[in-house]
Amino acid sequence: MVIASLDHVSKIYRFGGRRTSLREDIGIGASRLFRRNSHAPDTFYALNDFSLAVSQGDAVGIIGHNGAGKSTVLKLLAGITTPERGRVTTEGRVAAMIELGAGFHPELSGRQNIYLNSALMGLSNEETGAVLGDIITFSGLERFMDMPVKRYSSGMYVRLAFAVAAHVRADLLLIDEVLAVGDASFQSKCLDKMNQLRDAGTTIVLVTHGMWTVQSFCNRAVLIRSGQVEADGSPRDVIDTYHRYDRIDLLNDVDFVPQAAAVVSSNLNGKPADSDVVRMQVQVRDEAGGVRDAFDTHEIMHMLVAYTSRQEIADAMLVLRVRRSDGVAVFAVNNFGLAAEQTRIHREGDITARLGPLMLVPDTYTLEAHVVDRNKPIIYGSASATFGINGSIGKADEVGVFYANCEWATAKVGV
Amino acid sequence: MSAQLARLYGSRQLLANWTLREFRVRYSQALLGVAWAVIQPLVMMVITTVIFSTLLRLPTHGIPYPLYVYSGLLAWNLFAAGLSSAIPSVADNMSLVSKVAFPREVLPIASIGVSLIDFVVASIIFVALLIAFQTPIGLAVLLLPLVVLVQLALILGVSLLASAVHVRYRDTRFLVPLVLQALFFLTPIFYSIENIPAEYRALFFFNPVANIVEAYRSLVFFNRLPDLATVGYTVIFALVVLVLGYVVFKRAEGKFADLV
Repeated sequence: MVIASLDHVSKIYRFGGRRTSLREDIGIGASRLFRRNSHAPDTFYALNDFSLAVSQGDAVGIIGHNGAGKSTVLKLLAGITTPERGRVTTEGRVAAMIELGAGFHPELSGRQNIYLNSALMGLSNEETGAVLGDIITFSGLERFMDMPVKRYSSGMYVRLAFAVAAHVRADLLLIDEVLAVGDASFQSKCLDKMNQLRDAGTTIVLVTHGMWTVQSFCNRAVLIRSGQVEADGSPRDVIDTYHRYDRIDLLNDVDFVPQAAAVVSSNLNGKPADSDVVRMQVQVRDEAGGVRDAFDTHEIMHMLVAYTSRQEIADAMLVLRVRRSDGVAVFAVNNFGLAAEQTRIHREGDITARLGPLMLVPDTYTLEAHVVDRNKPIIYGSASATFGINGSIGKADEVGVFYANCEWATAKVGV
Repeated sequence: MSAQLARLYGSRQLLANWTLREFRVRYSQALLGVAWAVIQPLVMMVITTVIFSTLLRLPTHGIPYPLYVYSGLLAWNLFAAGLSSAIPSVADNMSLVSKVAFPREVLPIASIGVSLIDFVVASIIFVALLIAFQTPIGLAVLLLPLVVLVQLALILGVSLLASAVHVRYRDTRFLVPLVLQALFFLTPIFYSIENIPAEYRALFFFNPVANIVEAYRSLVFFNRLPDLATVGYTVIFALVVLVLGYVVFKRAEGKFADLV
């Protein structure tokens, strides 16, 4: 039975956000009257003729790059926004975890906020009363229920918010990347709870960048690309497709072959040729040569790629790319600058690189290594490794991607 | 539309919870708390009494001026406070609107609900004043809740209309106080409609707020039903604005979240 569906839905947004004043709008309206173009040029389709049907009991993982339209799908299913074209239908109670604690008011106590947030998700006070004990126990905040949530730490805040959302007995639960918050033990507790809900028959639609979550949690995955369904099926297959596109995007990013874009776009649905020629592994090590998965921000990292290849490749090069946990590409480097003889791929070999200090802000990062052709858009092999940068995530002075080197000088001018 | 109304009815507990939240939050960090609901009209009453009764000597048909002006302020404050808090209510909660789905009209209705609580508190003071001044009260006062109902319909209609506009055009932030200020002087609050020269008096008929204030006074002070034509006009005006406001609001609602 289909519990939620998007039927030929298009969602159009304007670039540059909302119009702020009446004056501008009158201006736009007036120019439209004369020019008669019904479409303002600064709009884009977040979703374009998009169809998706979710069956009762499905756990669907929605993946895609930033800006592909994933969150728009959730917002439409939640009823937060409506489409310009097409139909959205859902059955039963829908609960959305788009931002945990969005309905919390800092001045109100934990208990008052539980009632308020449950009511926002459609529960009556009696229904909330029936699950109140479970919510409080799950959050582990028994002693803080009568304290205003403004005195909560951010971790406590998120725990309470997740506890509420997980106990509203929704028929359809929509989750947007919320598992990326909280400490590791809380994350695993959330995942346990989600598993429990899924096994109890709750339909779940999950938007995430975490491929591992999709693979371990979902029975179905949907890849969205440019506002359309690009792949839909078993998580394994869809994630493969996602990675294939990721590599195609990499070829575009590297921009070493002028005609690459043309070749790639004509090749969109095909697997890049010979992508399994090189079997490789990548490791991140410290200066002493020990394999590590966590570093201090000022530490030097040594990257080691060990490979075996089915053939020798004369015109090869290695591309390294680092992504942050939310998918943001932090940087990419390649060894194109070396002579071709030095970058050639042998039947078996190692490539090492000394990186850093990278001065990255605490977070989890993925290091990808790709062996590509120097002249043609061909990927011969890929591998990735994950590492963390030590420190507490989200501190106020850790805005951005990296710590910049900065030397100050001040002087007094005049008398 | 009936489905939307059913959904609103289904959200009545959310409405109650949200109103309570707004009420708690409004006074949570104020030392004097809900006493502000009383202090405001009382101070206004004292000031207007000094200026218009003691200095300018406006006639009020034998009703003590403080009582006369308080009745006007009572009605006016419900109107002004309701509108000023309900109109920005959706825009002020954009982070919620863009992340949680619920009938958006809950926000302006709850804001008006809080103003209604203030109104009830201020009304209790009014009753105390009536007793203190030993003013005789007739049975007509029992009809006052109906007047308040019409007034609420008018406030809600304007709020729905204006809050939907406010989400898109913040021009209302400047327009609303201006209109309220103009309306304050165009409504017989600190003066009586009898003070107006006869040839202009008919114009007040078109101001529904003036009609409501006058209805308060004729029911409370004169034990007399207000003029039926005026009542009919005001009720129809309020209902038309309410229906129009609701329809416009519900049509605009689906795009609120896109306007963050």
